[in-house]
Formats: sequence, C-alpha cells, structure tokens
Amino acid sequence: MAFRKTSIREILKKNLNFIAGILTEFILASVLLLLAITICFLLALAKSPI
Amino acid sequence: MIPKLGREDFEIIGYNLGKIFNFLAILFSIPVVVALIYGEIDTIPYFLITSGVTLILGNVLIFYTCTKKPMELKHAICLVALTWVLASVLASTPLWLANATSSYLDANFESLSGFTGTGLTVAVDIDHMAHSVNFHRHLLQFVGDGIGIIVVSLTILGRTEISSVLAFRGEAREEGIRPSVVRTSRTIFGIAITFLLIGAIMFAIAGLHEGLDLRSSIFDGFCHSMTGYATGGFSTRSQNLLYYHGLWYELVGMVLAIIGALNFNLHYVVLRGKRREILDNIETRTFFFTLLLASTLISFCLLSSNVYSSTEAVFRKGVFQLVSAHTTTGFATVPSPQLALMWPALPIIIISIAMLVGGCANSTSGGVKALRVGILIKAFFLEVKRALLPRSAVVRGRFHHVEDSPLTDTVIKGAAMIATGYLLLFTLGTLITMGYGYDTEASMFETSSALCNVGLSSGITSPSMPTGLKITYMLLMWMGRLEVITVLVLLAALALGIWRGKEWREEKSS
Amino acid sequence: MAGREILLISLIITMFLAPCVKATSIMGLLENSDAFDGKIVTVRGEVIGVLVKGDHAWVNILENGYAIGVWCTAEDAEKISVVGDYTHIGDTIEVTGVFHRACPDHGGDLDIHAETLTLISPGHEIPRSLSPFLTALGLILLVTGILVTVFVRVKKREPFHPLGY
Repeated sequence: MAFRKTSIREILKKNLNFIAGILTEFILASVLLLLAITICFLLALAKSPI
Repeated sequence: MIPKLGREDFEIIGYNLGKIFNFLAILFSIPVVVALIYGEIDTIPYFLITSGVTLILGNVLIFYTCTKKPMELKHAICLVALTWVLASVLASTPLWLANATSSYLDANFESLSGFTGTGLTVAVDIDHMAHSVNFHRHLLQFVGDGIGIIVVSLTILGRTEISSVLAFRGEAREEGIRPSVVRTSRTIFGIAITFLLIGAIMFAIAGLHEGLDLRSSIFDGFCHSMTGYATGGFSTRSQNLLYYHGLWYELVGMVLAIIGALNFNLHYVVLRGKRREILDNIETRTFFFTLLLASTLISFCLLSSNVYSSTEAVFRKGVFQLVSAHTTTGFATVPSPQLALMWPALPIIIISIAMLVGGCANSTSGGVKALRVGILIKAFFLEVKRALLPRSAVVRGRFHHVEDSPLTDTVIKGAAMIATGYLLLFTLGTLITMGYGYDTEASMFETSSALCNVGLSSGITSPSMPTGLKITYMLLMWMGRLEVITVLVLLAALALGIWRGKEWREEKSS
Repeated sequence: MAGREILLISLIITMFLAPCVKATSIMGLLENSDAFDGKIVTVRGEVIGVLVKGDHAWVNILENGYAIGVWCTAEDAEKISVVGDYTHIGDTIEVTGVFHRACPDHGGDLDIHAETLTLISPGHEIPRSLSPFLTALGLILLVTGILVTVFVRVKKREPFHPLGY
C-alpha cells in the first residue's frame, strides 16, 4: 500500500466514527431489550390481580 | 441454452477449492495453541492429522487443476456450495478422533452444524470435552458463519439477479470475484474481530460476576463471544447458557446476538459515521418491529398460560428464547425437554415463525431474512394501492436500504422466490420429521431450527435420533445456509457436468 | 418388649427399603417438571460446575447426559473439591431439596433448592495419554503436507501467501 499523507485530525475522526458506531449498535440493542422488558413488565402487571 | 460445463470449469472450481483447503489447514491447526495452553497434549495429534490431510488434499487439487483463468459467477456458486460440505467433512475429523460424538455421521452433523452456524448439537458429554476440541467447534462457527457466509453473500450471492439486494454497497467498484472476495473479507474480518473482543470481555466480566473462576470465564467468554456474534449457538456447556444462572450473562448473549444479526452493509455505513441509517433502514425497522411484536405475543402466551408468572421469568425464559430464535443464534436457557413438554403449543409455533423470518440479510443469521420480509410487506401494500387507484396512475414503490432504491419487480421476485424456497423446505422437513413419529409442534420447531440455522432444540436432535432424520437435517442446514438457490445451482451444474461431460468426451475422442 | 420388637422390625424394613428409595433421575425431573413442582426430591449426580455467589452457590450436576442447577449454601458448596472437566470426573453428590419447575426467586430457572447436600464419592483424575500411533500419523501427515505444499508452489510457481491471493 502506498504511503498516504493523512492528518491526525482525519485519523482521529475516522476512529471516533468507528467507536461511536460500535457504541450506537450496543446502545441500540440494549434499548431494544429494555423495550422488551417493559413490555413484559406491563403484561405481567396487567395480568396480576390488583 | 445453458452453456456446457467442461473440463475448464471444473479446473477453476478445483483450483480455488484447493486454495480454500490450504486456508482451512491453517484454521484447523489453531486449536493446537489452546491444547498447549491447557496442557491437553493428547489432543494435539487430532489437529495435526486434520491439518495435514487438508493440506495434502488442497495441494494435490491445486497441482492437477492449476489454472490462471478468472472465476465466473457460476464457478463461485458451485465453489461455495461445495466448500460448505467438504470443509465440514474435513472439520469432522478431530471431533471423530476425540470421540466427541458417538459416530462418524454424528461428527459430520456436528461440524456441518458448526460451519453453517446452526448450533444443533449431537456431541456427547460436552462437559468433559477437551478445551481444544471445544474451541475447534466454536472456531468453526466463527469462521464459517461469522465471516464466511457474509463474504459469500456480499461478494457472490449479491451478484446474482435473485439476491441483487445483497450486493456490497460499501464502495461501488466493479472487479473480479476473487479480488473482491479478498478485499471484502479483510473488512469483515476487522469488524468481526472487534465485536469478538468486546463480546469476550463482556462475557468474561459477566462470568466473573456470576461466580465463575477466572480461567473458565475467559475461555467460556471467548467461545461464547465467537458463537454469539456468529449467531451460531454452540456452548462450552451441555446446559448452554442455563449453566451460568445469571441475568447479566444472558443479557450479554442477547446483545451480541442482535448485533450479529444486523446487516453487514449497515455495520459498514454506521461505523463510517452514518449512524442515522440504523433507524431509517427498512431491514432494521422490520427486524425490530417483528422482534418486539413476537416478544409481546410470547410474553402474553406464557403469562396467560401460567407457565411463568414474574416479569423476570418471562423475560429471561420467553423473550430470551425468542431473541435467540429470531436472531437465529440458538443460545438456550430452557432445557429442551422442558421446552417441548411444558410450554404450550402457541409459543413454540411463534418461535418457529420467528426463526423462519430470521435476522438481517448479509449477516451471520439465517432464515428468509428481515430485508426480504420487509420488501414483501411493502410489495403487498403497493399491490393494494395499485388496485385502488385508476389504471392510468403510475404507482412506484421505494425502499430505503443504505440508499433509496426503487421497489422493482426484480427485487420483489427475488425476495418472493427465496421465501418460497424456505417455506417449501420447511414444509417438507416438517412432514419428514412427523413421518418419524414426532409431534407437530416439535417437528415444526426442529425443522425451522435446522433450516434457518438456529440451533434451539425441542429435544429431537440427539445422538439417538434416526439416521434418516440426521441426514435430512444436514441437508436442511446446508440448503438453508446457502439460501436454497445456491445449492440448486450446484446440483444443476453437477448434472450438466456429468451429462454434458459425456458429450464432451465423445467429441474429443471422435 | 413390644417397643423393642417394633424398633427391630422397623429397622429391618428400613434396611431393606433403603436401597429402594432411589434418587430421581434428572431426566425424569426435566420431563415431568409439572408433577415434581414444589416437591422435595433427591437427585444424585456428578458436579460439573460450582458458581459461588455471596453466601450461596450454584452447583450444576450432571447425570446421564442431563444437567440441573442446584442452589445451595456456600458452606455446602465447599464440600465439593473436584469439578468435572476433561481431565477430571467431578465429585458425585446427593442433593435433597425442593424442586422448582420455574423458580420464583431465580428468574424462572428450573432448579433445586438444596436442603441437604452430601458427598457420595469423591472425584478423581482421568488419565489421558498421548497415543503414539496418532502422534506419528499426525506428524507424518503434517510433514508430508508441508512438503507437498512446497513442491506444488515451486513446480507451479504459486505464491506462498496462505490465502494464495
């Protein structure tokens, strides 16, 4: 591979995007599971005799 | 007319197969490192033998078929279909030598289940299995399903008209199949390793939290991360994730499975900074919607039938199995006899349908794929709209998958054909299983589990299941993994090769 | 006099019956979980995992290919010295406790809350030895493989890169 001149800012930006992307995916999956827990909770609440 | 398949075509396939064998030989020697770490010296010969045989076969193939001709699409498709079979035959050797399975067929079942990322297991006594042999099983899933199948669908299946929506949209660049395979595999490998390491650390921490000792938590964490990201579902314990009895361990498994089930094209653009895409994409929308809908249904069923009564129980048992099924992972927290006998029929059928829908296209998951389901749903709406509007009105559909694309008839046809293929195989498999005398729900569950490469079991898959059923499931796993059409192309090519090959030989002799 | 006779008879009966009060099989528990729910059961099996959590512990026991989790005190878990793995057969223990098909305390797990946990027989090491035949075969095949690779690479002018691309 040819040596390319890249500024530190560019490298930083690329890596930040990478890390932010991974975080986004993890957060998204967690939010999805949280939604599922909420659904379970609401259903269990609706079912239990008050 | 279909062009003749001649010697040249078989040479191209054989040559590339030889190259793949050489790569596999290196792969099969990796567990030696694990054997050395754990002092399991007696297992080293198993891997040396496998590696040696693969190396010899690969180079003999290269020697006799050496060619510089470029690979075309038909060669690539045949190569893929053949690779999955032959690689698993070779990979079964250590399992067979280590007596990890009760017969040679079982060893093949196990390794095919590994390579296709299914996770149905017929291994005996997993709890007393050597670390190296166990690592080998998990590595098969990571390489075959975590990397291999994504490379194949991005670079090979994406070139066929029927699966054109799968094509790699990272950098539009026309190039030959081989260079594009190499370039794409590098990118996929990088991303897979990143998720593997993050997952392993998370699993290890969760393992320590559940009270596991450091050594096992690192090993188990690494193995489960490999199979979790690959949505494979093998586990280092016979109880699967139930062994750990911990909410956090299960949460890590679910998060990793959901990430593994996301489209690689999506990973690519999200990691490049286009994070909004994740919410705009038709596929993730469909996937999240069906996931939440199915978990609502299953929670409701389990609560109303009094199988489980608390929020935690419904989430950790019901929703966990569902997420595991929908992402086609196959981690389980319910023992299979309990699943088959204690759960009512409705949740079992809901899970079977979730398996058939599967995760996202171009991901490690199996099934029809959310992208196709999304496209089909959209097509239905479009058709209704078309019927209601005057004939002169032009109705055009669009869908957003990485970029806005028109909903053309080709796209719809491709999605419908693949979906039909899966449904046909599902019906056939269910009928065959029922023919062996199993219950309807259990048969549906087990068939979709094998066909969609899930790995949850209702107790049918075991070393003592009938041989005919083992072979049926092996065929289902193979065809399901390669999206049905690939296998049909290979069979047609072989038939053509044998039939036309005779013609070719006659021509030559005359 | 009568009291002693009754005692003797009951002792004899117990002696004969004791072996008949067999431990329930884990497979039986898994397959008939509804019938055993909330009942006191006795199971016997090999320890394949101990996960200590504060003053309690999860002990996973394996019997005849099926495994189940046992929730016991950390004190009881300390009796276990060998956990089953590739080089060990774990301790065999007998557990008497309440069976839950969906435990309310542990997120719906199928488990046994142990009341008593006794060590039946201690575990031991499994001797694993290197097979000279397989070792020789492995080495021969590997060396042949490498030689064939070198031969083909030289003969056909193939690149040495593992992927070959």
